[in-house]
Amino acid sequence: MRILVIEDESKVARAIRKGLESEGYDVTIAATGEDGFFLATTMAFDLIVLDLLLPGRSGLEILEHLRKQHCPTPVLILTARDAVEDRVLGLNTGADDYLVKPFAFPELEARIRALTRRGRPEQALKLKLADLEVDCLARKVVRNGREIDLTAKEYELLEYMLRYREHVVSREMLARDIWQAVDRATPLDNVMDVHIARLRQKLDAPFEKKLLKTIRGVGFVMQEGNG
Amino acid sequence: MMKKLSLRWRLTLWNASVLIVVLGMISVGLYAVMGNKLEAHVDAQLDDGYGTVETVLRNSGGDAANVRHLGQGMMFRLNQRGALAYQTEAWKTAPWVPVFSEVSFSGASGSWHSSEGRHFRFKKGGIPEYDMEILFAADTTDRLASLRSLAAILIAAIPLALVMSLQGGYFLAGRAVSHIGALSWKAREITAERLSERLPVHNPDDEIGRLAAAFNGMLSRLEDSFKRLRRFTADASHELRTPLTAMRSVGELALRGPEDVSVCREAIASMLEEVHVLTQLTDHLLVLARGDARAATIAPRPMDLNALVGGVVDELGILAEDKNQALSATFAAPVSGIADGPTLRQAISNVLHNSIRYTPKNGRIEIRTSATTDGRAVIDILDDGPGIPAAERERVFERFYRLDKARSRDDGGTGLGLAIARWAVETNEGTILFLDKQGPGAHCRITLPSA
Repeated sequence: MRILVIEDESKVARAIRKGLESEGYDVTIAATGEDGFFLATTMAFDLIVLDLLLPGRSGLEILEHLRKQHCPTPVLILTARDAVEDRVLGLNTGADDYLVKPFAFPELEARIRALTRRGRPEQALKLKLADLEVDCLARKVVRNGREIDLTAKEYELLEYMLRYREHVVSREMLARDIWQAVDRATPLDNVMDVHIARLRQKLDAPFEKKLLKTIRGVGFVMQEGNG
Repeated sequence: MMKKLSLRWRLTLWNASVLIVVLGMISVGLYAVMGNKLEAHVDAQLDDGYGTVETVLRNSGGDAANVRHLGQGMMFRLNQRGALAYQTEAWKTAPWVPVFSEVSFSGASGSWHSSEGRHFRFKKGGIPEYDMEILFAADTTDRLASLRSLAAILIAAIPLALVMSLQGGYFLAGRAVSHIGALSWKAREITAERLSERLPVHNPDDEIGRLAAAFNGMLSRLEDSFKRLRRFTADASHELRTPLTAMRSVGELALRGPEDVSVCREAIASMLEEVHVLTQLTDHLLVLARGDARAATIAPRPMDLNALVGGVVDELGILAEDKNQALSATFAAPVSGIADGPTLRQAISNVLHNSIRYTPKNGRIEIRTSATTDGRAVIDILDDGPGIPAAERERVFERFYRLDKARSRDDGGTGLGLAIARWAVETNEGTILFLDKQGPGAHCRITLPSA
């Protein structure tokens, strides 16, 4: 799986490369718009991560040219936070998804997975992790043969994290996907913490093996063991 | 041309032209009135003299000899049966006698100018019974002369008045304008760094005084916004520096310590938490900056406020539950308002979150919706927490204003929640304020235009 990252900030580019390589992607970095455009038109990639704010050639221009040449590669654009117009413009120009800077790495990873249709969140109706079983149709949660009674929010959180199991989900992802929060200026962090604490209380407290883990400063993950 | 003249000259010229017009009108009027009066006076004299002569003649049966005693002061002539019967001395010596045959008195009265410039008025009549004709005259030369000299005086006075008015006007306009000049000099000296200075107000009741006062009012408002901006910048950098300092010291400490992975991981996690704080802070600042720039996309439409409030209560309820607080929502029968959903939700959410945060465990929080009789929608949020002192109720909406400096930051507050709430409500054309509350606690009221 080859990914082209067109990003001029070398620190960000390096971090993205490291992160994605650890997930098994083959990453190429282009530091300028020209390089990026050249690489994108001469080599085959499965995905392009495109920063819209680039020296030389603007990200939007590159996107426009790629789409004009009927390049089918999915493009994920990175935009500055206050550039709502850029985002809309980018999506209209043919971007497949966007991410607002500064972004949490788990989110970038989740978007890339979704766009490349690899390791996409399971659509399965039954989810399993260790001795935990979730029936998505009946919204029934069973651990070690015992049914666990969850509130609607707790269930939604659990199912979401379970579909991303082994991958960290960030607070931003939860805010957007579970709470449908459009902006990030609402006091959701505390709400999230309480829900997670309660879920953990019901899900993990009675058992020795803990499945729901908090990655401090990053987010939450459902996983077996400490991997 | 007119554009290039100074205000002082324009005032002077206007002043002078108005004066000329007024003087001209007065002069013409005065001349006409005086002329009329004189003429009427002459005619009355003429009628009077003529009447006397006629009466005497009638009483004496048409004997011309009886009018001789009427004296030489009068000027008349009597014709009887087409021939001269009598003429007074004055008539006899009058300058028209040589040309009398040429003068025809067709009407009952008339005027005659002699070639020497003398002027007379005539009245003609007769007594048909005695076949008598009376010609009566009066010398009006002197009277006409005084009218002429009046005209001369008036005509001479106008240019004089013009000159004086130009001088006086220029002087007075100069005085008036000099105040304006002083004001503009002073105003030019007031810069962003010296906004505390004010323009001098000599007389608060005249126009210049009012202008200066208006400028001073504007300066006050400017100074106020500059102060707020400065404080905001200082506060913002302080708020930004706090997490930055934490990140820096955590990082430095971790690098200085032993090469222990778990210590490093701990440090990184702690730094990421600070990054989260910074991200939130910039998010909040961005919301406000967009609001300030009026760049936020707001789409107000009629909406069910009960549903919106219910949604916020559902979302934040768990926080109250966690503190064992009784959070109750009371909805009046359908309350709808006109607002942009997401921004209004943000406002209600921030206020309610504050209430939950500051109300102690086991406290009570109530949120109510209602509609006023004058057609506005009201959302009340009441708690029995520590409340807000009356003096602080306006200031709590300021950016980074904190009642309890140490506590709220630990709770993850950015100090911008209420500022955002106010922006969100006001951008929806509503009002938000803290009211007096019976008993302890705070009472926040949001009022919105109703659908």
